[in-house]
Amino acid sequence: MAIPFKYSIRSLLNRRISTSLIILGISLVIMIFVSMMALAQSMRRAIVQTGCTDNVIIKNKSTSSVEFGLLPEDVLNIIRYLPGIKKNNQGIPLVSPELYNRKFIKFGEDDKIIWLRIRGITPLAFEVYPQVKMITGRKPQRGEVIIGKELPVKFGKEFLVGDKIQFGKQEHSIAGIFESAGSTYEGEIWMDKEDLKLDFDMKDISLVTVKLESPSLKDAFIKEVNSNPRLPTAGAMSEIEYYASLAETSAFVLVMGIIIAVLMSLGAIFGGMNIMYMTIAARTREIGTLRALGYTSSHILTSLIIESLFIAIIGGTIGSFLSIGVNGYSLDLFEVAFSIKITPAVILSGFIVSLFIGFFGGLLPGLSAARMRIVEALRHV
Amino acid sequence: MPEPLVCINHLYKSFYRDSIEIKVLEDIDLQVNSGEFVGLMGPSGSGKTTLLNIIAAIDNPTAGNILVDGMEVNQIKEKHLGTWRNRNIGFIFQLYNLIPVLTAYENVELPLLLTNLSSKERKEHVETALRIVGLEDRMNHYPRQLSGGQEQRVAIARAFVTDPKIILADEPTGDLDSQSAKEILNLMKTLNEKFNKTLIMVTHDPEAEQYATRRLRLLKGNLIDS
Repeated sequence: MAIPFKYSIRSLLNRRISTSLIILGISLVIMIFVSMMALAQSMRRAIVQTGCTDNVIIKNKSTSSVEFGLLPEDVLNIIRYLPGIKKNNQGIPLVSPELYNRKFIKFGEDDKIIWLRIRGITPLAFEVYPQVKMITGRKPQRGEVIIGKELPVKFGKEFLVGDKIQFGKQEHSIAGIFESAGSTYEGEIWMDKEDLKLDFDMKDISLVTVKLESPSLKDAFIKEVNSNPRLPTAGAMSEIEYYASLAETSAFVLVMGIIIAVLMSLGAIFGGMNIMYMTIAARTREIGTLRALGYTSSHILTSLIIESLFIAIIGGTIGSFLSIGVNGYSLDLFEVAFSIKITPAVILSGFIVSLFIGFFGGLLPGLSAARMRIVEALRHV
Repeated sequence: MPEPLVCINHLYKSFYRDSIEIKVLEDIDLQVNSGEFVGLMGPSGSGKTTLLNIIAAIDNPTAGNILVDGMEVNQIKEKHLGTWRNRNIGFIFQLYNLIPVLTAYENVELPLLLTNLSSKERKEHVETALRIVGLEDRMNHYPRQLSGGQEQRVAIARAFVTDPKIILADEPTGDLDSQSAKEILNLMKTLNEKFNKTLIMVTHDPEAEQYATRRLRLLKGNLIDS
């Protein structure tokens, strides 16, 4: 039988201040780790959820983003008649020409700088993106806009139907607010394509999104577009693939998050180790006594690692609990609007990191204690 | 005639400090029979505690052999030493060495946790041991709630609860007032006379030595029967 668990727990309670300090340190590390992981995963989810399996994006093939590069609008005359495109009840091919723009505006009394992502659409967009649903109001007419539900976060204010929003050459009346199943569209302003052209003196279009009759037709359609001599500047890819390429940005956030978490974890490990060494120094004679009574080095090591793990588990639990505070918090980061979601998987990963901190924070001090010579330990005052 | 319980032959022990050899024990021969209460006196630094530590296999001799109950102690493998100590040796320390976060009951139970006894059996042993030392009403007290004499009695209970072959006591009354010291020595005498426990006690106190049935002196690393 190992050294009683109650010995470890009571020893921790006996040194409340140092135990509390380690727990606080670990909880902060885990809180930041869980929040960063959740942020990166939520961002990635928003990007990935933006794509439909039966949608194909056609954009200027020389650019990686629809924000840069344009297509002549007359490509629609060719694209509409390509095989495999789904038609609506009126027999109209579901082809959505769009103009995408990003502008900054000054907003509010303090001239807060806000980056707007504006998408110029036609009514067919709502059939190509069926996940876009109005929460309040209605779809926009000429001279009106609709805003995604994450936009109020950017502006720091709630918007109502009928409110005005100034950008471009005029004020725009808000006809409605929409949601889009957690996708990045929820951070955009949608308006009539022609209005957007007039507002910002733009011509041509940024992209065409096409809904296919079936996802299975995707490869053939993409090949048709990419090899079509009448579409020399056009490049097609599945919508999911397009947004997946944008998801590389979230990978950057994830990597940064991991680096920060690793550095902080190392700090927590060394801090915990330091306090464990001090604890062991104060309990040298106890350890010598336990060895004299017959407890082995392994018993001592196990007991100390259990103490360290126990502290880490408490710190990890508190840290995970604190990170729930950011759950539901809305962000617009790297052109992606999303809400942070703290999932059980992210909390579990935080818990594992806390175990890692606990184990390695206790390992070296534990080994040092386990290797103590009994004679010297008993002599310790 | 039964074999001695402890048999030490030509024992030497040296330490090295900054490459200087310090001889602590030189050519020690000692036999302790079962049921003896040996008092070991000597000036500070004479090697008394070192001798106890070697008998208990907490320290290793530089040369010589030690048999305890027929087992050559310095030949026991490191991984088995803990178990051997747990079964054969009971310790009483000058500063009691109780675990401060465990109650008297839990301190006495500590060595039993390394045995195969059930929880119920352990309870019986612990309660009996604490009754013998007169502390059955303090079993849920922590060491900080006990006097020095009471702490040492708990330590004594812990030392004999596993029914070891030998109890080694290193200055058991060194930190006690004279009244408490007498109580402790009487208790040890009871263990020896009533329960036939073999005790080896290191002490500075000539009065304490009077309780022993056999007295030895350790002078400059040599053992003298006094």
